[in-house]
Amino acid sequence: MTSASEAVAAWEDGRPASMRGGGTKGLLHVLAGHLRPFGISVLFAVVNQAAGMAAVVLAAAAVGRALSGAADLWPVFWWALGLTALRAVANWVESWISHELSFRILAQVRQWLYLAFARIAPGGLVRRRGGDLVVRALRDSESLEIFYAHTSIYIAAAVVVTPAAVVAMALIGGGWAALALALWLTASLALPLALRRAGTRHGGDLNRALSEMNVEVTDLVQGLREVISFGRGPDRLDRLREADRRLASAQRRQTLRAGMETVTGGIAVGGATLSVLVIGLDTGLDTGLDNGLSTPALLASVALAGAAFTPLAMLLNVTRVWGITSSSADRVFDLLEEPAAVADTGSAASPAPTGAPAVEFDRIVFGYDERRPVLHGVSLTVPAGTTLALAGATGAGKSTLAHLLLRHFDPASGAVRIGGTDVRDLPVDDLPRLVCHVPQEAFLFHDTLRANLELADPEATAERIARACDDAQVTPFLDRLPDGLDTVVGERGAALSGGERQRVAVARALLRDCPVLVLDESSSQLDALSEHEMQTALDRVRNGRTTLVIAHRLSTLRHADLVAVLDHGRIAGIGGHAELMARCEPYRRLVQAQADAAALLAGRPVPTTTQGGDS
Amino acid sequence: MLVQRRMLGLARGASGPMASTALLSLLATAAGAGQAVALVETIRRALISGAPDPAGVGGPLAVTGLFVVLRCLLLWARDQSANWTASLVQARLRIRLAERLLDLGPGYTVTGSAGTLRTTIADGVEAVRAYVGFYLPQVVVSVGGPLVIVAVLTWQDPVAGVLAGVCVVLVPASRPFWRRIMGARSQRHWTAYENFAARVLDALQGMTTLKALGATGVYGHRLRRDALALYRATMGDLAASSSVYVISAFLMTAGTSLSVVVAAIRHSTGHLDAAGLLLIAWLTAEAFRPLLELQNYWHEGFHGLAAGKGVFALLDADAPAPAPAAPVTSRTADRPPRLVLREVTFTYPGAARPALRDVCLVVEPGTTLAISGRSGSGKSTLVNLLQRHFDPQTGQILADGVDLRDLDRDAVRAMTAVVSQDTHLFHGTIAENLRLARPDADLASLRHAARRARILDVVDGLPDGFDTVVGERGARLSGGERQRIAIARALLKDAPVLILDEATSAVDGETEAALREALDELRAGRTTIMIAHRLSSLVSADAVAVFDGGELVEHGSPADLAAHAGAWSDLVAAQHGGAR
Repeated sequence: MTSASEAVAAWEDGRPASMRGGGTKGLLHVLAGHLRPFGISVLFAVVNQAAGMAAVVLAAAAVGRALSGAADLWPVFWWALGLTALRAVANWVESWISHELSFRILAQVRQWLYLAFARIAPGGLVRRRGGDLVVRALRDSESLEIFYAHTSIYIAAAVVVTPAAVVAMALIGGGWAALALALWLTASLALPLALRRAGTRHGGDLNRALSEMNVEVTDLVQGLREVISFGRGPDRLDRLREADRRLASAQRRQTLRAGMETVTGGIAVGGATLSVLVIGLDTGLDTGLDNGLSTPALLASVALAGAAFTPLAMLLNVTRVWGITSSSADRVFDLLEEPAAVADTGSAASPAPTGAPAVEFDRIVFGYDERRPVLHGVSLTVPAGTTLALAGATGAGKSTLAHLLLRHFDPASGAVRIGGTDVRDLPVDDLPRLVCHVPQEAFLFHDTLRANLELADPEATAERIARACDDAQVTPFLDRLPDGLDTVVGERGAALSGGERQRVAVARALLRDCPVLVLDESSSQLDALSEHEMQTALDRVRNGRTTLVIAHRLSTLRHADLVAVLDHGRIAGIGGHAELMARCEPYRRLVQAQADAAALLAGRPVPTTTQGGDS
Repeated sequence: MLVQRRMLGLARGASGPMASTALLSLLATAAGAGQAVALVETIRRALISGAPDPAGVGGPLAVTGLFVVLRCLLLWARDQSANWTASLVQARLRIRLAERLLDLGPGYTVTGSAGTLRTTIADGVEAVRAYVGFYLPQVVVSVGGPLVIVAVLTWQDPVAGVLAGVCVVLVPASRPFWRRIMGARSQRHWTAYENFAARVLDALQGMTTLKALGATGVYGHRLRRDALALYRATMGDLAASSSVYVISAFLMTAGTSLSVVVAAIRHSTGHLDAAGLLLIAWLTAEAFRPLLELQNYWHEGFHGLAAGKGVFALLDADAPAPAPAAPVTSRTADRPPRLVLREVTFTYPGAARPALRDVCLVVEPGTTLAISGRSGSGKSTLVNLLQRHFDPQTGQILADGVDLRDLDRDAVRAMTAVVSQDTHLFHGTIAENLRLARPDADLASLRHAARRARILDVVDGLPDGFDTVVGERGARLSGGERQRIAIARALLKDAPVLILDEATSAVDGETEAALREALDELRAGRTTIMIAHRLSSLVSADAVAVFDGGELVEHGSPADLAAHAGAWSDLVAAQHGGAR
């Protein structure tokens, strides 16, 4: 048995260096790390099955002896009782250890899955559907339980017990009976083996159908507002019905095939029993009962013929779903092998912590899709401790530039440098200590507000958290929440408004206290008054930090030390706001829209001159 | 027993297939008994009749073989029938739950966790499927079949029969005891599983944030805590269930072998004849076979029961905005209504303070109302109420004089087209997402709507144009692009009331200015309600309503309000202050 602390240790075990070669190999590779509990389970499984078989054979022999006129059968009774007790205990030990083992491995596999997500995010996650990934993580890893708790043990036990049963048959019922038994045993395995490929295919179909159904359900739950607003409920129900129909059809094929295997198994048991009986009677007839098989031996061999199938039957019970297990394993281990979006090969030391470093983009070329380049050779420097605002229309490449600084992706050519060090030369884990991101859509976890803040700094004291909340204007709406900082914020932070969520994200950034800051349209969702306060808070955050702001707002642009204008993936101009207004046409167009509205609000005529933005 | 009346109710409509499953299973048990009797007859003729002759043995031998085949075929048919039942139950229940969710509406999901709902509708239904399809029929057979066989055994020999009978009864009788232990543990297992599923979903969706915060380690630690809770809950299950394995394995083995040995002893003491002994020797095992099979479905039994809780919670939930008993159909659907809010007060379930308090407001048909106010002032709540995701606790919302609660809910929702700041894009192509608003729209209308929403160029630039599959939650499109898809969707819906809830918050200034023209066109002949923080989006409104702390503090034309000191002029000043 394993203590909780050992289980924790197992959790922290690294993943084996290589698990290539598909699901089955991966399953075995993981099992190889747990040979001792596995061996103990197998041992007790063998004892369990052998004792069960012996008890049945013993009982049949007792019947034979009684029929032959034996008087004192009580010793047999005590033997049978002993075997029964032995079997019960062995059964318990086996199931306890094997389940313990399988759940321990499951916990481990889930940890690896999480790490795999962490490795491939965010580039790799975009390509996959969240619903689909959850199925992988949970259902697939759950179905590995069958392999570790049952399949692997039963295979090993059957390999030992089944030949032993054939040998026992040779001793009790003679060579012919043993041969007949061996043939029927082989026959019972033949069909499942022949149908193995179909089994794998059906398992794959079933898993696919399940995951399609899951995607439909996820879409329905998360898109409920839209479904209802557009009156598309009936449609979504039809889609769900269709998904369920496909699922039912996959289940039907699976059940049809599994049923065939049941039939073969049953016929083999019956066939073996009858064959051994006929052979036994035949032996008896040829030589006379006294010289041939005794009655106890005949009855014992007939009973053994039936009991010998138990290990195989148990094995087939679980291998019937082998297709599901192996395709689950394939998917799990595929995901574990998924390469990271960026290579973690750097080992350079982070730039010295004294003061904010400069950030430099050097001739960056990048596209998410090779056919659609986003940045065409962008060079840009954010001097240490200053704020540079990126301006440009949607799709101009502003967010992409930020992604590259955050190393969600690596540029196709060119380099991003922080304090002179190429970010690719830094260990991936060191980067978040240097650069902090306040994203466009702040994500809050389904947990308390405090836990959400502590993610930024697990060691933060209550005072630090309170100060960050003050500075980020979180404190004003804390009073509205039933439990203050200990309020559980809903799914995707649904209990908070967009603006409030964003302020939480700013508070996180304050707690992170990184020398480089990336603000992604950080104030676009705030109302005018809050934004004004936020501006003050952000000035405080930016103080002494090198900051890259993605903003469309006039106020942000004016507050920046430098503005860089991106136009279709190229730099159209760099300079101060006024300077760019004077000489950069794309910038002027961009600002004009905002300026017009500002003028309208103040009740002034919209200026038609190009200087409008400055009025 | 692990049978609940309410779970049986879930099988309604599938009772025929369920009965046929049970019947087939009983027949298979009978065939098994027949097989044993025929085998015994073969042995009896060979051994006891004194003069064994092959001809006399051949008959029962052939009958045994026939029973073997018959039993296998019956088992096969039973499996198919069980799967058929299970599929019927699964499809029906899932649709019932989905319909229920649609009835409850988005108001329900605001308070519950979407991860839990997903688990209930997806995995919970699978668990119930197995419970109803496989477990319940097996319970019937496991009760009926063995008792008949035990009766036969007892008739042959009371002592051996009673011993086998005691074991047969004790195996299921230890279940209530088991259930008491397992019930609570299983519930804990299920809760831990749900928590873990929710955490993983959360981790996936927030992985970018976790990486940005350098918090993958910290969160991984929390995930580990949940995995350990799941592990412990499961191990708790096992500690209990494994110890019952001892009793159960003991009873099974004792029943099948010890009672046979006892029968042999009874024969040697002259209490039982040879034929009876042989019958007991081969028939006893048949009494335990159904119990053994029930054991295989045991997991389905308690997982189904635990999952049933989530299923029933969803089925029993109170609708935040129930459908009217007799909907009023007075107004014509394509004309904008006169909207009147009369002293509307609304508090979210579980919230301490009302989100809206005593709000009175009139929106004349065809006008544009701009709503402003700080975050959390109640603006989005108003939008929720107008779509009837919730009903106000006091006060009324009237459309052309009719309370929204008395109108057909579909009509209320058809009345409004909403563009919200956080739009869900469904897994599928862009065209499919747009056709959500109008399923019969041809490509030309899609292109037209996309052009007006200033998203056509973006769509045309995608590898497969309108047939491009958008990623989960539309992750392949930027926030601004998604908002413009949502605007195109609203354009296609063409409803008399348009609600723009921060519809352009993530769109850049240049695009927004262009969109404003499109939205201006759209406002003609429609009632428009606009919520925006960017005051530039609001200036062309006919009226402005300013909210603060759930109350309507100012209402009037923008020019009038700007002329007086007040909340609106403060907001204008603040935006200007920020801009200067």
